[in-house]
This record gives sequence, structure tokens and C-alpha cells, in this order.
Amino acid sequence: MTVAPNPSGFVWQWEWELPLIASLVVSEVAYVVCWFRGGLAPQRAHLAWKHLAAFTAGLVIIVIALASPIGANDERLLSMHMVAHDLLIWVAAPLVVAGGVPLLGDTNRLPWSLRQALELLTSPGVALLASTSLLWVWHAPTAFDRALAHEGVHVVEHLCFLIGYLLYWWPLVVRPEAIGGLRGHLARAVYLAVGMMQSALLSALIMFHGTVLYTTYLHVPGATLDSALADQRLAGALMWYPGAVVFALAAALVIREDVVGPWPGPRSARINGIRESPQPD
Amino acid sequence: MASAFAVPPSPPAITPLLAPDRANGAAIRAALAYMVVGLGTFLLLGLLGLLMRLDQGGLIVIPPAWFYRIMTLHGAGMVATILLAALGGLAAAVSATTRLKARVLWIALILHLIGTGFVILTTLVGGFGAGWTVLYPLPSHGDIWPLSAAIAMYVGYLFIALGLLVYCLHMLYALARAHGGLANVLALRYLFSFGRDTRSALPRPPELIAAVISIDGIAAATSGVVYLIPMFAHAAGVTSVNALFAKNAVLLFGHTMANLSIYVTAGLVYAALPTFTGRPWRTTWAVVCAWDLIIILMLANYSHHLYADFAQPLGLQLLAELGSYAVALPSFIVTVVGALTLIYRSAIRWTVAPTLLMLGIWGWVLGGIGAVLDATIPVNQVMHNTMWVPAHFHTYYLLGAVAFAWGYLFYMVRELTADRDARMVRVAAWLYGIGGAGFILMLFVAGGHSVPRRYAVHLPQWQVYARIAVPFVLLLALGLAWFSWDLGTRFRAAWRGTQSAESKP
Amino acid sequence: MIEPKVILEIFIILGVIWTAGCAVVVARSRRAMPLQQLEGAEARLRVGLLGGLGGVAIALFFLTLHWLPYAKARRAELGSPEVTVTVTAVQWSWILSRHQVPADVAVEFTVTTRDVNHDFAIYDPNGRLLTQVQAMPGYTNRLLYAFHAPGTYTVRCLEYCGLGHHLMTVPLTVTASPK
Repeated sequence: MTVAPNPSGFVWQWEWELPLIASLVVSEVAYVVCWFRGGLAPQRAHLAWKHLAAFTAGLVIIVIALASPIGANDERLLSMHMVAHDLLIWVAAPLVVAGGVPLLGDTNRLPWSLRQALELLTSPGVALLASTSLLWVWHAPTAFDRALAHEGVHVVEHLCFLIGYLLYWWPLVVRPEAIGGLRGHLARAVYLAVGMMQSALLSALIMFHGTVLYTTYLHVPGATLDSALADQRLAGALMWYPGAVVFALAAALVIREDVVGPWPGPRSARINGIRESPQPD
Repeated sequence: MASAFAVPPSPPAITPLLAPDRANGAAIRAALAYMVVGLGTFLLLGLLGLLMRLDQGGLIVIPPAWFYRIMTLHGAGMVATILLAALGGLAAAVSATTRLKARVLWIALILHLIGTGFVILTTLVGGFGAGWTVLYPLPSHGDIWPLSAAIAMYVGYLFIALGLLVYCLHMLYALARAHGGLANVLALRYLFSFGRDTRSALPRPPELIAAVISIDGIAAATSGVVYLIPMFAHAAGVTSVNALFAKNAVLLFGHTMANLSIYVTAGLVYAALPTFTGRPWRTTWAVVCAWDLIIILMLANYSHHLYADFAQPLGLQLLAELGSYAVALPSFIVTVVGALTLIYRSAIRWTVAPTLLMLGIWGWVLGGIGAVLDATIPVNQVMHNTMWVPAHFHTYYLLGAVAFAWGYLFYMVRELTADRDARMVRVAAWLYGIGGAGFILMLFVAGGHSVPRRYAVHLPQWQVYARIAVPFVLLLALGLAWFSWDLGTRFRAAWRGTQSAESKP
Repeated sequence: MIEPKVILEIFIILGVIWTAGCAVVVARSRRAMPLQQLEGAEARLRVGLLGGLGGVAIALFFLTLHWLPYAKARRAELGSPEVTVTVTAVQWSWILSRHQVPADVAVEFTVTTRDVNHDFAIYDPNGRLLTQVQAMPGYTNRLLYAFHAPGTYTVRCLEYCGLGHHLMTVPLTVTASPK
């Protein structure tokens, strides 16, 4: 896609790319059919309206990210490009997982080979490694500039982010008993914290960088060195601050209550404690 | 008056860490996470402190821009991380008899980590170096850091304040639910009737203390927000801010945040010391009176940081001086004397945990002596912003709150594994104590010789104080490394000790 | 005139007394005694400490009112200022309206800042801090002081103010009293 010359800056138009829209429509239709059928597994899965809503919302977010003016301006403004990526990895991906995974039904009863593949891909280590490395590799200046220059590479970049973060959110969004599900507070908290820290580091490095990282943005008509730097700082901030909010929200949503037994005894028994006169050691 | 000191009707109790059937296992796991993250980060930030001492001793040269970034991270990080460890310990202590939601504790931890991330990244990557007090208008007058770095610092503080708020609100809610109202948790009827009205069961001291610090924690978090909102507005170019208001707000926030740690960890002493002395620490009228007073006294004396700001209203200055003297009284007369009474003639075995608790009691009062001296206005004239100031708060922290926190962690591991502490580890406590004492003493000596604080470069005649401190810091580091090693090898067993058959990890 | 070294000595003395007290408690922690036997003594100790320390605190508070550093109090003590020095702090230097003041005369420093908070602190030729006042943006603070010995004093900044904070220093000469 070539950059439309527009000296006034932001372009208020939508860009409907047929391959993108077609693939999203096909995905939605396929999902709805499966949803009505009761899932993909031989036995009927427990599917609710919220799953359909989540999946559909996820696809709508992808449209907003890539086809709306946000996406339309991703080659003129790094900050808009960043918003598009934020929407993909932090909003669309978890929604798609939340809506899509229940289609598989009880993941522990899937065919052996599929189960093995899922177990490998969604293990926390692999999911973290995949999402982190894909994020960092594509933010290297050479890769990022190449994606801006070639549409095919750009599509691959977005697919990498989406897939990487479908994997990242999987262990947190699925039930703890499902394949790849994280059990317990510690595991979930550590997993969230690592995901949060690596993206915060990347955002800070971008935001505080003294020179323009992605030189394509210097060649946008109307851009100056100062405007490109300011845009880059804004981009870093748009990755850092909303990211913090996303992870805070995620913590509130995915760190669920432990299932414990009833709290013991009447209050007086609790206050009295157990030992009467314990030995000093 | 005699009834004020009479033994209250609730039966004496030494409450163990674990509730029956390990019902509080989840909360204790969260508490362990707080303590490990808190004390682990403390170790890393301590290395930054060592770098600062080496630079001030002229043994290494750190470019001033980097020195001030390290100083900012060290200050902000230490206040936040020591408080985190302390709050974790307190949650464990309270959870034995009050049901806490582990989920909320973990969410508060994530919020804290988000905030800490901002602070670390904006200082180390963004170049921010305005000091942890972020005193207006310095953050936006940094020649060498961008305004965005200041904003990131503010946002970090906002998340840390939010984490504190979530913790404190949940703590108050849980305590009120368990005791039938906040007034019962604070034993107000018992207090105002001088011990005669005993209709409601009294809270255990850690529960009372948790309520007190939660109230002040909410006050601290609120002052933080009150300070930060104009700071954001100023950064956005919307408004300028009155410098006196800004200093009052930020010191009310910072002073309370720093003070909270020592009071929270004092609660840990109430929780753990009875186990080692075999004597319960009862909720007496004196305990209730002292801690209920601390709610107000902790907030009343923040203006002792503003004695040299002559524009501050005289009434607030004098209130601060009186408040600084006053707050020492309940802490010393009730908590310290109470602890020493528990220890005296108790046949206590001086393993590592009680040794650290005793070290903390000694250090807390020592720091208090330095603090009360500096809180005297004419003395402050010649001590303000000299090394005396870091001297007294490093004493409060290192030889007070942090000693209590490590001691309580050893207590937790001991209770969870039912293992005796290794005999030799108490030597590590002595290394820590001697190293810490030498280090803080050199800060006091430097303050007595009018060496200024927060200088990246020390004059040759000042460098000797930092140089003498360095070997003591190394001793301290050795003690800490030993603690970490000992606890590290027992940690997995302790974690398993929190799990009952039903509960998930 | 409060000497910092005297404060340090007081601190050390009180610290040693406190350490000795702790050592006694620890040494006597070996042999057991029932807690009930200690409760009376503990209660008496508490009442004693409340009275004693509380009394000291109140006495100290009233004593300190005589030595407040604020302009009104110092004016009462030193008399009206005969010399005025305008001090403006700026990142990272001091702008003084005069660099010489006479000894044995009440000098008033009117201190403000053009940018961030600074702290105007005067050190004597031996490196001892004598007096200080914060320089606050939007405010002018007045510090009164009388120097007693001629010599070259040093003004330092004692409120962290950025990169050059440790470099912000200027000499102040005190000349012999004309009297």
C-alpha cells in the first residue's frame, strides 16, 4: 500500500482490504455454524451467548485495528500503528481465546495428537517465549521498516502478533483444568507479571529513545524530525500506559478465588487459638 | 486508673500462624509472595545503595546524572518494597483468625508491580532523577530527563498507591466483617470505658494494628493522589501549583508511606514474639490506647520535614514538633516495653528469628533517638538535609522494619516446616546487626559533621565517613546473603506447608 | 547556638544507655520467671515512663520556643537587621546582592528561588553548618543571623535540586566588626 500524500496529517478514512475482511467474515461464519452445532468436539460443548459475543467482539476489534482510520494511518504515524497493535494483542486476542476455545469442548478429551500440540504450544513457557520474542523481533527497526514497506510482510507481522498473543492469553483465559490452563494464584501472577514487564520494557525503550527508530516515518510527507520524535514518544506512551491498565484489569479478572473449605469455628474459638502454653522453641 | 492496666477478660492466646485445617493457606502463600518479592527487591536496591556509598567515599566515580538516577530509584524503590514485605507479613499474621481473600492480595501485588515497573524504567531507561520525593517543581525542571519521564514516575506512584489502597480497603473490610464492625476492631468501646466495657471480644494485637495501619495507609494513598493530580495538570501545562501546598501534600504522602513500614512490622513483632517467649501478648487497654492514638499521631507530625520552609504556618510547625515527641511515647511505652517484658526472664532461645526481632527493637529506638533529636526545631536548623536525616531513617528501616521483616519470615518458614532454625544462621543475624550498626553510625557521624545529604560528589574531608561505612555494608551484605541462602533452601517446604489436601497451590 | 557535634555526642550517650538496657534484658532472659510476677513492675515502669518522658517532652517543647529560627523569633533575639542580603537561588548557582557582611551584626538574608526548591545553608570556615532556610518558588523567606567570627564562610545548597546540586556553592566573607 502506498502512502497517500496528505500534508495535513491524519487521514479520516477507512481502508477496506478485501482479503482481510473476507477472512474475518469467513471466520465469523464458521464460528457461528460451530456454535450452533455445539462446538467442534464430538460431544456437545457448553456454549453460551457470552462466547459468541466475545469472539465476535474480538473480530470487530481486529476490523477497528486494521481497517478503521487507526489502521489507515499506521504507515504515517507510529502512534496510530501502536494503537492498532495494542488492540490486536491486548483486546482482540484475549476475546478470541475466550470465545473460541470453548468450541473445543473438554480439551482433555481431544484426539491425542491435537492434545499434544496444544499442550506444547500453550504451556506457559512456550506461550511466553513465543509472544515475547515475536513482539520484540518485529519491533526491531529493520523488521518494522520492512513491514511498513511491503504489505505482505505487514500482514505476516500482524499475524505473528495475533498468534503470539492468542498463545499468551490462552493459559489465563481458559479454565484452570483445561489444557494449558494455569493453576493457582502464584502461577497466574508470575505469568501476568512477566508478560507485563517485558512489554513495559519495550515501550520504555521506544518512548525514551533519543533518535527516530523507524526511519520510514521520517519520509512521510509533512513529517519533520521533531514531529517524528514526538510521535515516537507518544507511541511508546500508548503502549506503556494502556498496557498497564490492561494488565491491572487482567489481574482483577483472571486471578480468581481459591476453592477452600468452610472457615473453621466460631469467632471465640478462632481468637482462642490452638496451643495453650507452647514451649519457647 | 488501675482498671486500665487490669487483665482483660478474653483468654490469653498464642495464636499460631496456620489456622485449623490450614484454612488460611492461600493467604499465607500470598504473604510469602509479598515477602519474597519485597525482600528480594530490597537486596537489589541495597546494591544500588552500596554503589552510592562507594561513590561518596571516592572509591568509584559515578557520573552525577547516573548517581541521582540511582538515588531516586533506591529511595522510591526501598520505601515501596519494604512496605510490600511488611504488608505481606501482616496479612499472614492477621489471616490466622480473620479470613482474608488471597485473590485480593494477589491483585494488589500486581498493581504494586506495575507501579514499580514504571519507577524502575523511568529512572534506569528514562533518566529520571528528581529524587523519590518528586518535589514540585523539580520533576518538570530536569535538564537531562524529559517531561515524559516525570509523568511515568507519577503514574508509577499512582499504581503503587492504588495497590496500597486495595490492600488497606480489603483489610479493613475483612477485619470489620470478622469482628462485627470497625469500632470493635479498634476496640473503641473498651478504650473509652477505660477497660470496663468488655461486651465485644477484643481483637488480637495484629488485627488491631492492621486496622490502624490500613486507616493510615488509605490516608497516605489519598495524599499521594491529592499531590499527583496537580502534578499531572502542571505537566500538561494546565496550571501552576503553590509550592507550599505541594510540599505539604508530598510530605504527608511520603512521610506516612515511610512511617507505615515500621508500624506494620511492629505488628509482626506482636504476632511472632509470643511463640518464642511462650508468653501471650494480650490486647490490654494500654495496647488499644497506644495504637488508636497512633492513627492520628502518625499523620500529625509530617510537617517536621518542613521546619526549614519558613513560609509554613507556625502552628503546623509546632504541632509537628509536639506530635513528633508524642508519637514516640505510645510506641516506646507500650510496644517496646511490652516486647522487652515478654523477653525478660522468659527462658527464650535466641535462634535467628527472635535475635532479629530483638535487633529490630534495639534499632527502632536508636533511630527514634536520632529522629526525636532532629525533630527538635533548633536542632533541625543545623541537621536538616545533612546526613543525619538518612542516618535516622536508615536506622528505622535497616535495624528496625527490615530486621523485623526478616525475623518474621524466618518465623513463618519455621512454623510452616516445623523445622528448627539452623544454629549457625543466628551468626548471620549478628553479621547483619553489626554491619548495619556500623553503616548507620557512620551516617550519624557524617551528619554530626554537617555533611550534606544527596550530594553525588563528596569533598575529600567528607569521603572518610563513606569509606569507613563500606566494610560494614559488606558485612551486612554477607548476613543478607546468608539469610537468603538459608531461607531459599527451605522455601519449597514452607510453601508446601501452606497446602492442605483440598486447597490448590 | 546548637553544635551538631554536641547533638552527635548526646545521641551516642543515649544510644549507649539504651544499648546497655537492652543488653541487661537479653542477659536476664535466660532464667524463667512467670509473667504474672512481672506485670506489676511493668505497669509501674509504664506509668513512670509516661510521666518522665512526657514531662521531658513538654519541657523540651517549651524550651525550644526560645530558639526558633523563624524571622520573628530571631528578630526578638538579635534585634533589627542592620544589613540585608538578597539571595536568589537558581539551578545551579547563588546570586547574592553582597558577598561580604560584617560580624556581630544582625544580617537578614531574604531568600527566594527562580526555579525549583533550594536550601540556603551557611557553613563556617571549619565546615560546621550554622543555619539554613529553604528557598521556595513563589515565596521569599527571611533568615536572620549574626556572625561572631570573621572569615570565609561557605554557602551550600541543601535541598536536592538536580544535576548540579552538589556544585551549588558560593563563598561568603564575614569581615571584622566595625565596633
